[in-house]
Amino acid sequence: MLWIIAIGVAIACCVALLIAVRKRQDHQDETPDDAAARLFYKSQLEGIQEDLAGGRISEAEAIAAKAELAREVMRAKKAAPSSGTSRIATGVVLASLPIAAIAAIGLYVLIGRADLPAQPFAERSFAGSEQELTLETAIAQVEARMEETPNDIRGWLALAPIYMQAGRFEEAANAYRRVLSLEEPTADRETDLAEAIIMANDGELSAEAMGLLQSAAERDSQHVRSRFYIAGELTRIGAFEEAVPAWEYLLSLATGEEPWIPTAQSGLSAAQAGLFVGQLDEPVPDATQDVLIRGMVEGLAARLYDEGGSVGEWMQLVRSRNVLDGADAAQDDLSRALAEVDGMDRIALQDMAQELGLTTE
Amino acid sequence: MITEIGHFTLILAFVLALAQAVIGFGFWRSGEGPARFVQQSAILQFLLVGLSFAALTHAFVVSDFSVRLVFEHSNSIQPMLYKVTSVWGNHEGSMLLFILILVLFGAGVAAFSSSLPRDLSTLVLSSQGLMVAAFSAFVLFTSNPFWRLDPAPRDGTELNPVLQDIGLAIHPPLLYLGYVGFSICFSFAIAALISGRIDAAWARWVRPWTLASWAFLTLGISMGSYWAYYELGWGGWWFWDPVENASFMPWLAGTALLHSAIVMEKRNALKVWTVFLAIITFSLSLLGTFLVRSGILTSVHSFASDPTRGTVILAMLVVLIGGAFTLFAMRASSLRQGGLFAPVSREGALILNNLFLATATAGVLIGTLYPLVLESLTGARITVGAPFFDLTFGALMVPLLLLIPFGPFLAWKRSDLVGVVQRLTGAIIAALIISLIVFAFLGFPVSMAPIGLAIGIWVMVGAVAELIDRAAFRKVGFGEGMKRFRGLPRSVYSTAIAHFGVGVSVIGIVCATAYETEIVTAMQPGQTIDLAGYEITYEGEQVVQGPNYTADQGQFTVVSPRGGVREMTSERRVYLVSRMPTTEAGINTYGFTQVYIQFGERMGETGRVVRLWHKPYVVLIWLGTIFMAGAGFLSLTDRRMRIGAPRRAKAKAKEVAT
Repeated sequence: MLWIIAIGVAIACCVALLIAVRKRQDHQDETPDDAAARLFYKSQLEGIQEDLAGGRISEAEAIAAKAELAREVMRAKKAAPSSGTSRIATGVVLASLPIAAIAAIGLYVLIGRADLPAQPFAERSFAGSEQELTLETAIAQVEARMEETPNDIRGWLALAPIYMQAGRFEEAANAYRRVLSLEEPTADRETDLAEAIIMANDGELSAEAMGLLQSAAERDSQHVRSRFYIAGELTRIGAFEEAVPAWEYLLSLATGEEPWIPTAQSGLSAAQAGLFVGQLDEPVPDATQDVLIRGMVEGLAARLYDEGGSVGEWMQLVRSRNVLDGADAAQDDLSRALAEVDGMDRIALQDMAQELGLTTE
Repeated sequence: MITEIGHFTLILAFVLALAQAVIGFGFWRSGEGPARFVQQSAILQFLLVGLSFAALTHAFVVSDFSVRLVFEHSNSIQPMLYKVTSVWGNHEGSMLLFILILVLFGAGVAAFSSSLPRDLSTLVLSSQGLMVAAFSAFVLFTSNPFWRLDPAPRDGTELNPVLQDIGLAIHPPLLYLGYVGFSICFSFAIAALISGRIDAAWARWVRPWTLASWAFLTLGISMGSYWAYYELGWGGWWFWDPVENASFMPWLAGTALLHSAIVMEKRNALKVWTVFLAIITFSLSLLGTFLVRSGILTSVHSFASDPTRGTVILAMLVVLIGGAFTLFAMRASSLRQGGLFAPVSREGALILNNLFLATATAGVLIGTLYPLVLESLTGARITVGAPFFDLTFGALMVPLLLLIPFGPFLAWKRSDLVGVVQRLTGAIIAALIISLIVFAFLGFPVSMAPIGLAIGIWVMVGAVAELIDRAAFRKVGFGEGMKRFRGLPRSVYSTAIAHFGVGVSVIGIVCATAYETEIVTAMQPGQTIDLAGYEITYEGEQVVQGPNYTADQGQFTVVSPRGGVREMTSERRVYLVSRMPTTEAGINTYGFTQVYIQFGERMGETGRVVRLWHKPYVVLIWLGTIFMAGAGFLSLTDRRMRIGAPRRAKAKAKEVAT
């Protein structure tokens, strides 16, 4: 059917072209060119007359315009092309028709998928199971099986990630606990369980979870996932002295290809920044250190004011300034930063200002 | 099967376009037969590509996920409207739309070709055929929308949620109507260069295509700007984003073309320059389309990530643009030069206009491409932001805007500047008085902004003054003047309306930029805040369920300074399939002024970060563009071409007559 239609369309096109090419001219005495030109210049002349009658141009202007038109007509006459079709052209045109049709069909054979039927959504029956395969039904099926064979490690391992995906973290944690009780614990399993516990706790890292993570990290000196959680938690609770080496060690495990490297790097800089600001909060015993820090902030400010920078750098500057010199100085930097950035960056700045109690007017 | 038929008809259209280009360019001097062939072929291509587009739309409507494009950009729960707009809400489909409009315009030329010199129409259609062949080859071999999946996936993914919006559904077709319309001007330029003939008929044909494309492009850009304004939630209406610049450059060049085509039409002058502009305008359209479509703009690297697509794009740009310029370099000198004119004349004013617009285009082009070139050469990533564009573009626009009212007052061929200034004195005084009244009435502080406003008012008053001057009320009295006023040609009205629209947009831009108020704050339910006289109360939030998204909807009550009370909602949506969050800003319009609320992140137990903007007269920005586009369409209805009569000739003719 498809082929009949395709070939039919191709032939119809060729016939339509053939008819057009073979059509006889209506006016033998006048080429279409002459007719077009005559019509055009006639309408021009009428336009001038109409303008004259409507008082839009004066008689003298009309005469000038007509003279201009006459010159144009004379030039056009000189340049008119010859008429009549050359034999070669006719031959090429006629030969091109079957070539085009065959080329189109050939190309379609190469790139088309005539063998594939259409599959509109409404007409598809998702054969194989009468019942719709949803996450819930899948869980129910596996759960039913686990009641019969509660010591099947593979069953629990299949079920736990599904629970996680469905947001049933408590049950996921139970499943991982079962796995840990049934086989020798590994760093991965311990981290899995810790992950489930953390999720069940709305992201809070409980003592149990932390213990599991630390055990996993000790068990495997190369284990990344557990260390990631630990370093993140250390940064979150403000234990920056421990967080910095944790992140550094994590980064030392990277071979350079891992997708988590940027996250770890930003974690490291957050911990370093925290360390830096944390030192400021305490009385600085050594005056030289104060000078050093001040020098760094001023250096950053000078560079940003001169050359501009990323929104992250501006935020760092405003934050440091807020701690070092107070809100007024931070406000000045903020105004400058707001003038430098736009779009989403601007909104990020405004959010930070909100948090620091600065105004963005 | 319908999908496969669509695939086949697209292939057939490609082959016919190729034949059309080869036969047309090869035998344009060889008489009737080839001419008829290219005409018929152009019409057939429209039918074939139309079928193809309909087939793809059908696949989206019935959610046939065995078509890869449908799977990637639609799903079974997506509302029907967005199933349809998904057809062109992606790279492959939008290229097919581009081709559809290309062949539609080609068929238009073919259908009306009986009133066109045969060699000209054949060459124009050959050039169009070449473009159709190039674009459909690009689509078929590198971005095929009919690619099938076997086995078919169960359900699809989703149209990018920010594109699920009626504004963006009509923005691309409008933009493409503009871009592709300029392809006809381009083809006419190619035809003129090859045949060496540019006459009045040429100008007459180029004019409507330029006007229509320009008007569509104006609407398309304006639509895109309004969409970005309300959908992206930043409260801005123009970002000098490379994607925006990509559509703005052809508009600037097209505006220049529009004006230089007038000189050519009326005075048979500036021919070579008009041909050059026609080539430039379409080249910029192509460049814009491809910068956006190839993904070069987001990063130079995505260009390299798909080597075939990138190479084909490059080859097409080189062949079409490079070929056109080579042809121009070889043949431009053989074109007949047009009439002469004095520096102070309508022609002179239009050249000045072209000079400013061309420079502005170059400025935007440099600002857009420089970061790309730098990144590909040195790897350094820089952004050229609003400050660069505001400075370069703004500095060029101020003198241009000041000069706009002078142009239409100048006579063709040679004019008298002092006389024009005298005739414009009334307008200058009126503009000053109105400006002063506006400042006093609105109580604006003294700054640069009132000067901007005054420029906008000057452009508007100047446009009206031209109409009044042409009616010559002072000379012929009020009654006769009104008669003449009504009898003015529509092209005169359209000039005045378009220039008036420019003034309207300028005022909108100045007001919205200089006098907007922005507040970012955390609001608790029940809290009221004052925003430039508007009392805005945050009533609370609720969860709303959309067809394919859920949203946190903030509810606000706004009491305007005049006491009117209106409800307002602003949403943060999460789309179900892609899990992508979007914002739906709340916008209330008071006259030309808008209050704009963006509902932000949660703050504490019940609070929310809320961004509120008061944007005085911001609607004028888009209203002005509607004036401009409307003027373009009005001018289209004035089909007759007029020869501009020079002044001195009048005196001579009188002598002869007496």
